[in-house]
Amino acid sequence: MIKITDLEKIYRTEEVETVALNRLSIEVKEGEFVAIMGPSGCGKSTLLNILGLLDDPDAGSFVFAGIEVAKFNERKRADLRKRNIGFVFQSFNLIDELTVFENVELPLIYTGVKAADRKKRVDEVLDKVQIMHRRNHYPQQLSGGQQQRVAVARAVVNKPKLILADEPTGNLDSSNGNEVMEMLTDLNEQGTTIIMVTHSEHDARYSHRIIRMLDGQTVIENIMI
Amino acid sequence: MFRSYLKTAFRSLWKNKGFSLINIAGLGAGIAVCLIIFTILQFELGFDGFHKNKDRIFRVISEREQSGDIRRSPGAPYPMPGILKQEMPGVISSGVFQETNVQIIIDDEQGRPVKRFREEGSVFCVEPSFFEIFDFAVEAGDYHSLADPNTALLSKEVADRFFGDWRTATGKTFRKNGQVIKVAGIMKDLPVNTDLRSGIFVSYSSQKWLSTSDDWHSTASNHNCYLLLPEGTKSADISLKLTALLAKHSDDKKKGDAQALQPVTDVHYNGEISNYTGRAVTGQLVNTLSLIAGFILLIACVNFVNLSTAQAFNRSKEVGVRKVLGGSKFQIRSQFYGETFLLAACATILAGLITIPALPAIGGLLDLPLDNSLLLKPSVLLALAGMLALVVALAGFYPAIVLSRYNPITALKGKLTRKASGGVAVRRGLVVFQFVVAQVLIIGMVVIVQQMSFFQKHDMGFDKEAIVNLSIPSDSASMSKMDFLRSKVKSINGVKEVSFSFASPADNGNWSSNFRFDHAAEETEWFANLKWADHDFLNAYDIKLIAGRNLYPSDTVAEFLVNETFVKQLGITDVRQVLNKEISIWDAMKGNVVGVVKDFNALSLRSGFVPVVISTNKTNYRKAGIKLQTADMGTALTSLRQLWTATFPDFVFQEQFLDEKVANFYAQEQRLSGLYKIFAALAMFLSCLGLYGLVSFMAIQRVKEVGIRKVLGASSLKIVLLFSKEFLILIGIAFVIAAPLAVYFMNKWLKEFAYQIDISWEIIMLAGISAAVIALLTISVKAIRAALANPVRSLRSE
Repeated sequence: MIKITDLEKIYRTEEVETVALNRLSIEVKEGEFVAIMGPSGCGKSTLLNILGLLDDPDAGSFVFAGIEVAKFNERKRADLRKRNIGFVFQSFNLIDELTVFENVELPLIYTGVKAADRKKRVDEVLDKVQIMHRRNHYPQQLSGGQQQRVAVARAVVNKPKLILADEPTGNLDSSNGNEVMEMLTDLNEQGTTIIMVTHSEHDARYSHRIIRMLDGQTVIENIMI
Repeated sequence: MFRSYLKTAFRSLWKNKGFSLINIAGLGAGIAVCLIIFTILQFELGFDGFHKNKDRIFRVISEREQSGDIRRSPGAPYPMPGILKQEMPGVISSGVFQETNVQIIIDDEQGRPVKRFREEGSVFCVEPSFFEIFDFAVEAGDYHSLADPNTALLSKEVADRFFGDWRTATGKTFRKNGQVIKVAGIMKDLPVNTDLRSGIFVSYSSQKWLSTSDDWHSTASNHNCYLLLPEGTKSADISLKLTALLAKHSDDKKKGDAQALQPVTDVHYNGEISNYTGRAVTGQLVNTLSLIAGFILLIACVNFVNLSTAQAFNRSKEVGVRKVLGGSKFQIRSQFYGETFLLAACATILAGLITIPALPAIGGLLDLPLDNSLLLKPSVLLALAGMLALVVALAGFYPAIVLSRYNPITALKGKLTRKASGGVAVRRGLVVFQFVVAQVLIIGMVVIVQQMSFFQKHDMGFDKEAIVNLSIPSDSASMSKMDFLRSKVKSINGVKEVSFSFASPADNGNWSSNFRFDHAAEETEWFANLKWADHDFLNAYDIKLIAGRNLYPSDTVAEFLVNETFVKQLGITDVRQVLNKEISIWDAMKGNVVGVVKDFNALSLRSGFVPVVISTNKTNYRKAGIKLQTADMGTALTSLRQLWTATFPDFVFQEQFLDEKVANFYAQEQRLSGLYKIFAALAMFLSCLGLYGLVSFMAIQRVKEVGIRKVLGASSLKIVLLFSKEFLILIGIAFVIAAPLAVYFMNKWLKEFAYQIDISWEIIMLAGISAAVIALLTISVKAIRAALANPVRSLRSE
């Protein structure tokens, strides 16, 4: 599903040049659950941003679902992103002014789904993540675990092929963290490809494969049994 | 999607109630000012535009070359309307003679007066053709009846006032300045936006002297001639024919004299050629008001832009999330435009609520009949919708651009710096812009107020304090009572002096003429202001005699006094050289110069000294000038009222103090100065509202910084200075730009007056310092609160 080859990303300021990704090559197959680990500054987040089509690489190839996307402009990237990729963030990133229902509805609005269809799909997914009873609440009225469940619901409502999760349990206690990981595992079992950046070995164990990075390169890959 | 935008917009505005309120209040006030000014301009610019033949209606004006300039006056030679009917058969013409302060008496069946009115507005004497030229509808009767002398058409309002019910008024009579006039018909009340507004149209033939006059030389501003040209006729061709007509009939025509045509649609807007309302809406006034409206709306939009971009930092996360979830730049811009629209829509409603009571109040201030029905005109509603669209475009544009350009990764990680969040330089620029506008308006307002006060205090060369002017009826019976009246007035306790004259030294009505000096072959090319006045005129008005002697008592023109400018205009340096030289006016009124008076202002202070000739001429005395002792003016006035009512029982007593009359010369400036005061205060208020919003925002953003600074020992004053410094620098920069701009524009305005103040640096500094102090106070309200906050709380919460 994803194949990146010799990917490079360099951040430049007036005085310093930081190589975030250094000729990185990895491949993720459809239906895989991959964890990316590594120390801070190793390039995990940069990789995730490029995989999520939020950023473009300086060099190298990035093939997504058989299409070379490395040179896509912002508009094309946004279009591809909203139809194929869901995001789960460490800090949930829900919009405070919108209710649970409206937060989850948002990706559907941007993809032009009709109102009746939106309502049906949002209710389904809220039911699935067991937050239906809170559908009219605002994010500030929910616990961290509940907020992350809403974030997961928002990530999957568009039925994306790929979910990118950036430290999804980083702001949760272990019980809520486990719940979120179970949810991601379920989604993966239903066929969604998941790439997760994490510092937690415990969470990484939910994945099929761990890619360990250092200084913008892959240093080791562990296959989980 | 639009619903979702509106929902988010509403919640976001609700969450930031304070800022929303500032924005709605500011934009509301800005839109209200625009709406009011638009309505005023709409009202003023529509004058006499409703006549279906407006493009073919013209007023005949006179042009006279004088010292290289062309002087234009609205007066047409008296015989012109009559002659035109014979010489230009295709042209429809009507003479229009305007009378003011007309005395009306309604008698009962036995001929006893039952009602008395003094018509402050105009009474027009017109020919029947007047109603073929203009679209003034007749409700009952026939305008052709005005072919007969001593007939009139009354408006419904006037007929109701005179006779109780307009339906029964036709056929009844009233007395106009003693002349019996029969009501021939009733007209619908005239629209408010015509310069020919009157409720009484008397037949032109009622003024016998007008229809029989063969004086082609004299013109008076209240005698006009209107034409309706045949279709396809060029007005320039008619002007040439009129000039030729003048040359044919006028023996003593001067080189450069000409007749020209003024379109009826220009009458209200021409500052040079007077209309009947005493106020002209010039292009300059229209431009000034439009500019003020535009700038005040811009100030309000600037507040919106500043507060929105200042808050943008707080909304960066939301923008990041929306972008990650697939929101395009266009969609995000649309969302913020939606918010601006919602806010602007609330502001528009508020503007409507402000305008409803404000419009009639402003109408009162400007002496204009502005009522709220004007707001329902389609053009005004369309303009309001246009303003809303303009505000959304102006105020929404920049914040939408700033917010939609955020990089989602940086925005989501909270790594967006305050600087990168956009708009710091723009915000500073906009604050400077606001204060430039506010300070220009403040300096302008101070200059206008000072100029007005200068007019009040300026020595015009005659005494205008505690002098009351009382009108005298012009009929011969009243004239015969003048000597009796003089002795009676003098005997009233509290009266110091009394003089009878055509007008006071400076008055609304002026009589000018050229003349023959010292038996010269030719009359002078220039005109002198004629003051018909008795021998007490100099004493009553304290006009100084500098050579020769005062006039001897006489009922007719026997000798003359002249002023210094008169002597200078003749090219004579020694005033004594004019003494005993003959002045001959129209070769009919002759006499020697017996004295020279010190120059006094016979016109308003817009003009300088003009040549003046003073002579006795009892039949033309229309006013008594009575100098009172200031101690007990009330009692003296009561006695005068009793005396006047007893002497002229058919006459409505009305007094006018000379200083008030002189102040009225500048009524339009006074009214506009009132309006400018409001606008300047509003501009300052709106700018400060924006400042308050920005400082409030700063106080929230820098709460941690303030806490740390306080822990490290900063005093509250230092914290206040921290908040104020940047804004005071910006206000300082604004002042440096505003001061020369204001001086430039106000000097241009002052050039309209012959007597003007110097714009001193004190005035400018005063305006600048007041702006800075008001701004500082605004900032301090928030800054002091931030400075006094307990640092422990802010640091703990961080």
